[in-house]
Amino acid sequence: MTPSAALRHLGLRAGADVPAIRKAYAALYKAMDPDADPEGYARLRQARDIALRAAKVAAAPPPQQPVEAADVPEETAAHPAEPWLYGAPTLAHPQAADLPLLNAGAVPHAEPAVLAPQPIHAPATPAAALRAIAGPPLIESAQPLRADVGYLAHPDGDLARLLHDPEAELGPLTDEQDAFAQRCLRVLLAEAATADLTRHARIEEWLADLLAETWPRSAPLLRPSAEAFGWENERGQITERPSIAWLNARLRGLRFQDKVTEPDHQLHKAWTELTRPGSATVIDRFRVKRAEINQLLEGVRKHFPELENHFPRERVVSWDDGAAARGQGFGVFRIFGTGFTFNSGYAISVVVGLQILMAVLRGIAPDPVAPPANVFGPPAALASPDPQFITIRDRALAEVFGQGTTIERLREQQASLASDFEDRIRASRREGRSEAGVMADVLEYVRLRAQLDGRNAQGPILRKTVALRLAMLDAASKQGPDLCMRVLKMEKMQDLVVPDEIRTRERALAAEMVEKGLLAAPKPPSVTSARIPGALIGKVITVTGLPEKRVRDAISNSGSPSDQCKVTRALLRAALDGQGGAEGTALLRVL
Amino acid sequence: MIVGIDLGTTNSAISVWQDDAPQLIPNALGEMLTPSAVSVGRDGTTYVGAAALDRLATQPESTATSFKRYMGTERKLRLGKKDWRPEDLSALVLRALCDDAEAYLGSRPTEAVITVPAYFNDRQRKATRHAGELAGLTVRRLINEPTAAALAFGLQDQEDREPFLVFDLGGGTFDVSIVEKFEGVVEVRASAGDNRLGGDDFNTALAARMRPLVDPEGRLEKLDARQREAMLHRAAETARRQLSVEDKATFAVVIGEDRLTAEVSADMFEAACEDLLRRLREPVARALRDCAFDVAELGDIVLVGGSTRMPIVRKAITRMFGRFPNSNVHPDHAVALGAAIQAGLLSRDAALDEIRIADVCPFTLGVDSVERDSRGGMQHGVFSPIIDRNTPVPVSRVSNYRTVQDNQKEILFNIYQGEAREVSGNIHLGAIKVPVPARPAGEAGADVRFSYDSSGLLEVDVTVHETGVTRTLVIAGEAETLTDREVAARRDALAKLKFHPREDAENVALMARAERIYEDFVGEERRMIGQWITDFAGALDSQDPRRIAEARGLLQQQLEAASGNSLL
Repeated sequence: MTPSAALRHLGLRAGADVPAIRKAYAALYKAMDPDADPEGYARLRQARDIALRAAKVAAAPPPQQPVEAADVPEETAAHPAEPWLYGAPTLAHPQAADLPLLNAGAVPHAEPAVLAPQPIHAPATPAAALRAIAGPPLIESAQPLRADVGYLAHPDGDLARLLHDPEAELGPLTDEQDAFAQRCLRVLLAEAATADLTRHARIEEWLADLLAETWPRSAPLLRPSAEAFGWENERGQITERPSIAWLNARLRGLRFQDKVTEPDHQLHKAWTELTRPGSATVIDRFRVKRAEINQLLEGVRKHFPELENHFPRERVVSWDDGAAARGQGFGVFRIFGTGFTFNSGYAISVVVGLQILMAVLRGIAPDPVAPPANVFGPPAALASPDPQFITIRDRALAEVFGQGTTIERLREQQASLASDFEDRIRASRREGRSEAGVMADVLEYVRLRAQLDGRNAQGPILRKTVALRLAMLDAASKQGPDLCMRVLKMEKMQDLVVPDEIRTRERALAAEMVEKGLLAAPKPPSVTSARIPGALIGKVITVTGLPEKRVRDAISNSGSPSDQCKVTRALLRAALDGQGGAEGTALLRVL
Repeated sequence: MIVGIDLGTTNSAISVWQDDAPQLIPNALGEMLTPSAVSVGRDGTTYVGAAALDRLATQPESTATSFKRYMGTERKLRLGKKDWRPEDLSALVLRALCDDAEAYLGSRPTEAVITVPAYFNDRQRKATRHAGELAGLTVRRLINEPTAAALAFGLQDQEDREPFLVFDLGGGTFDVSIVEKFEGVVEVRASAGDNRLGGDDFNTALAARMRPLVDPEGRLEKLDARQREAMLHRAAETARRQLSVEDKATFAVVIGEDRLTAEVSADMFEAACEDLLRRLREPVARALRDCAFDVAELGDIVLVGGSTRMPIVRKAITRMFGRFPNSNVHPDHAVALGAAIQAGLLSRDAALDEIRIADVCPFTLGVDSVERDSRGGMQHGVFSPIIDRNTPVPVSRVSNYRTVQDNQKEILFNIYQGEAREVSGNIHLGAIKVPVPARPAGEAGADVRFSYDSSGLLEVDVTVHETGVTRTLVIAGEAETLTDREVAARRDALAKLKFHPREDAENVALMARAERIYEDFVGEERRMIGQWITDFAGALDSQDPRRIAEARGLLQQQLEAASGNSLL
């Protein structure tokens, strides 16, 4: 339902304000029997909600320019400086300047990385990392003396600095550091316990982010934090927040570790064996049952991948070799045993939203070189009817959205898209493009928008969007690695010959998204980075048959176009097959 | 005449829409609140209300309180020699309330609006409806307690209101609702709650904290479990009430001839309840998240439920919202008054012509489903939501499901309520099976329609695409499995119970109270109270109304002087 249709439903004219909408809604509601007509009631509620939202937006001050807004760090934009903001300089981290400044709307680097690797243990989003270091002002500097926890001036900043380890060289906290970190944590938790809900939520989010970003150094702080905020109550809920879900999984790993280190645990022997340094000797192999080693490794890899940190690689590999020598199928060890060198942690973090970001900038943000928007001609509604234009437009509509789509319907369902669509056609024609050229231009435009908006969508649409991208990459790779690279970066895709079957899917998806009102003016992607679980890397290695180093290079955006193309396709395929969940969804959004 | 009934964990109340306003109806003792307690005497006489509550101290083995916490479960409570279902006990309370209404209105009410905690699940709602039927009432509607309170608060004047939050902490349940009122429409935007958190839990926490202090030798251990629990619970309740008005309280238990006491401070109480206070935050945060409101956008914070009187709870609320809550509504009366307003709405009272109430379904409803995992295996028991929580009701939604096996013969839909991704973490409400034509996997399927009405009754329709076969299931839970005759039989059985005549209510309640206070004292004082009781019993035996009235007045004075504390 569009805002104008919503207003019509309520019997109102365009421009109606909030009180008028409420009054009209109340009158219609009182005149009906919702129990007799629940669907009518649902439509009425929907119309009211849409109309209210539109009226509130109209009443609000105009939004800032997208690029300007993007330059403002997220945190500052969301939370204006508070009076008791304490001096950020005292919190400046020596490493801060070295971290790549990649916040969501920033202009990409000169060489757009397809898959830019992050240093081991680095936070998922550098912007968030800086936030963690510079820290939102969680604790007033004039913190009163607390008898129970002692006085700490900047427990949040100190804690963030202590935990942060972008080079992954510090290892676990020492006893002294741990004691200090626990003290900082106690102050923060005490603060949260007495804070109002907004502040409580901020401290909770900040802490959850920090723990996740600095894992595994932050491990000793997880349990007290989870207890204080009741994170485990959220476990397994439909609405479990992604960061909390991730931490809850780590928490279960810690619990498992507690149990398995007890001598009466059935896998205790296997655990002790695998945690020893050096290779396993023949005697070792007799002492512990292979089945138990197998069970432990499989279980750990499936449920608590981070615990594999505790097993020296040499040890794992020595068991693997023993198995290989006997001709047993332990291929999985090889992949993981070596794949392990990716990092010592559980997964690698990647920032892979860049090519999408490029598309956003090309598609919507004012392009410094492109002519200003009004060159495209007068607004669609005022355009003089040009029969040739109408013919091309209607053909383009059929080509992009399928037969039977009219511009009127498009305007009704997605007004901004309709006018942009017509503007693109005019611009292409003015450039003297042939009819086929116009078609290609407008198709590419909608394709970009669909790919962008599809990434911000939920569930099935997101999957369809990504599956379509994979299909196009597959088609492109048949036409050579260079074209595949271009499709990867979503630029100059006109040469791409898309098979009819894929075109049909694309058309259906575009129509579905229009139907659901999802092809709105594209926003910057909601997620710009994700973690690639070790298991997926393993799959990619198996599927592509490439040596691990080449896979790693491809993910790091170096290596040959052919490798990059192969690896990305394999990764996409593995991600689409994945179990979903918050992490899987985040990965789909960035790939 | 439709009455409104607040069937609470600790106290219940009955009300009616009369003379363009909601009115509470007093019980035989002249009080607006009737304790939700039932006790059975050795001779089979049944006590309900204040007398039953006092008998908890003297006859814990034959007295039940807080049975609302077990509504919707199969759990039975043993009173004397008989097992009782929570519905039966609730029905007795409802019947006592109807007796009061009959005495007040001149005719017996036949229809009622009964309130339930918003976070009561489907089974608990069904059990409540069932209790009403057992009490001889037609339950016209179940209304959520915070919604009822919102009605009472919202209709205090004609003005529109900023979104307000109803914070309802009762004896056994905790609900939060965010409500808007405009143009006479009282609209609930989101509800959340914890149906296992209430004043009783604060008693338990306090008792657990105090027990080692008051009884370092472990003498309580030797007592009968039920007696011990009743004693600790009562000691905690008394101390908790005292802490509502003072900084310190005495926690006291009497074992044999010894009265053991320990002092408890407000700070100690707060520390003992730290976890409970923390649990108050979660539903509030969830409700705010669900309707995308910020704390700053809320107008009033309306406190409902007796447990919101606790200073430690008020302190926690003030911290949570960064402001003081609104005390304009009576925390014990608001829900019953709201129920009367809903009763007035249902009888289309002209004074309420311009008023409407819109509620939400506070939990997610769906079916179990199978998903394919990355290895091509089947993952069973995945919850597939059809109606999301906090959807406006009434609502009707359809979802589409397909077969997962070749030549599958039928599809079984298990219906669940809850928020967990795996159905095993949710509450099973029922199941419905439909035959499907034999086709390859995924080529046969069915539409599942969930319809959830204003009373919270769920109806499920399943239509098979290929054949058009439709099956309907009204999830009516236990109530439906009983035939009308069985319901009638149980109703009659309850009706045959022996009660004291209504005009004796005051004497019965006073006697129970005297016996309870007797238990609290030792030595000379106890013997003295025993003498007073004997005297009062003698007066009752005389059957001389004047002498009884005199003796009653005297005993009341004596008891008050002895306990020195009207809170006892």
